[in-house]
Amino acid sequence: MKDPYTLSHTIIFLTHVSESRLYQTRLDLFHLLLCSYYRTRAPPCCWHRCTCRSGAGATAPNLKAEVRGIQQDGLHLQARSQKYGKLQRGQLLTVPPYLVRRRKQHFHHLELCRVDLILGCNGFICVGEHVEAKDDMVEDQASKLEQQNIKYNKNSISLEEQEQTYTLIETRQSTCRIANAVRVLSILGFNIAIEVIMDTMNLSSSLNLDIHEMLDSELCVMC
Amino acid sequence: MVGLSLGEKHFIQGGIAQDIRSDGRKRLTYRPINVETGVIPQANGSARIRMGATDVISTVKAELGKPISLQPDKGKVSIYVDCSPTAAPMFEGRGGEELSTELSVALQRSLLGGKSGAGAGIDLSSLVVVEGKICWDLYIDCLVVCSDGNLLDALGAAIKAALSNTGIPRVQVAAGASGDEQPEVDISDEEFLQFDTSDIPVIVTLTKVGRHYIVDATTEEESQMSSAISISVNRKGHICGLNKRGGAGLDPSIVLDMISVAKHVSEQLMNKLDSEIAAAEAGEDES
Repeated sequence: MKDPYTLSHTIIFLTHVSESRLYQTRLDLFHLLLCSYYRTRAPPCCWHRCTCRSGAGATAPNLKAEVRGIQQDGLHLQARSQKYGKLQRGQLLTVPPYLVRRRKQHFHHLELCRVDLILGCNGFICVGEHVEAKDDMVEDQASKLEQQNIKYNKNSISLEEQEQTYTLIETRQSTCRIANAVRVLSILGFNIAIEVIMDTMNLSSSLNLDIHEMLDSELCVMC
Repeated sequence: MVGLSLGEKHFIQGGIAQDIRSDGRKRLTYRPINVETGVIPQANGSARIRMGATDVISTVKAELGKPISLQPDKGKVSIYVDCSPTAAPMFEGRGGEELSTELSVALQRSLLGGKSGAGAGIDLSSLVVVEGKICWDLYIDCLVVCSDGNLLDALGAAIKAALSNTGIPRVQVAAGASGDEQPEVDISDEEFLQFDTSDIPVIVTLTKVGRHYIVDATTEEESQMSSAISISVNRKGHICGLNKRGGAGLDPSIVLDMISVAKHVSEQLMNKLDSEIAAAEAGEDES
């Protein structure tokens, strides 16, 4: 299988990679998963969603990684700096991939709303709480992750504990407003870019629309 | 169905607990409902309902038939649901059959009442032409074009809209028929009788996620549910049908609470649906 396109530095998303392989340095797993999906000559923006075949689907995390290149049997991904890795709390939206253009910057941090926005070239857009990029040593992170794993895997995690860790209401409102802005733009067929999203958001705030009313036809007409 | 990561699941559960769902709705808010009637001109009545991404089409076909001997003064209605493979990946091939049967049975119980026809939302005695000999058979067929959660509510609303769009041809019975002979009937092409749909109930599905109930769940929210109750309520506020899904057991007090919440929500839904159906019919008449 030969691929004529060059795909360096394309940001993509992967879902359902099992937890245990997360910090493995060689990304063989990605090769295995992706080679079966990458049989056709898809243009660079259309990455297929990969599901882990071992059936860890229910609790596996989403990842963000950068594509280094394509080999004959799959993709070569890298996730070496701290800004890559697991995605924390937020929503994942899917839009048609041709609406997301290749830019220099795909990771956006919106200061006012404390929200992270990631525009993937494969059409996957992640809107979520802002996560500080930590510069810890790998062992500390691994042990922290183990603690988190134990917490998530315990079935007896009570509702009260969970409630304490829910996101703040203001952050959630901003997240939902941005997500609705993206949904409206994708319905109307506009290119998804950070400026357009911010404009839509400000327009909806200035019209005093409730968040769920953004999806009605009135905002669409105004756009 | 595509699964969700832990972060997404946590976000959905948190949203429901804080009354701000993923698209900004409150727990008891429906998605915008879009009604079109008369989409299939060959059928006696048809309607298409869109609730967000969920898209269903319902058609009503009326044919002359013989009533059941046990109920000679009532017509017959049958409801059938088909989940198209284009609706969701899991419906591919024969994957949608189980869900189709479950939805058909749930709709029949909610809208048609018991086996004797008692308590039906549709007045079956208005379907009779000649008692004991000829009656109208209504075949209600529904197609799920796109599935994004809350199928039962959408199907119930689609059937209500299709029935209000239905026109049954007027039938002239030749006089002088005696005994066991089949009377001659003349079906007119011109005159139509509109169906009376004010008694048809609406179906409200309440999905329980964590400690709270939501109305009109999307597929992602339904994947997080512990249980769901579908209640069909008519205009008078009476419950015509009840259906529980999901593996988790429910305390009886919670069930009663969900029923009262559903009654409250059903009033708004019924008014909204009636106005949307009237607007759709008016739009259709103009065009």
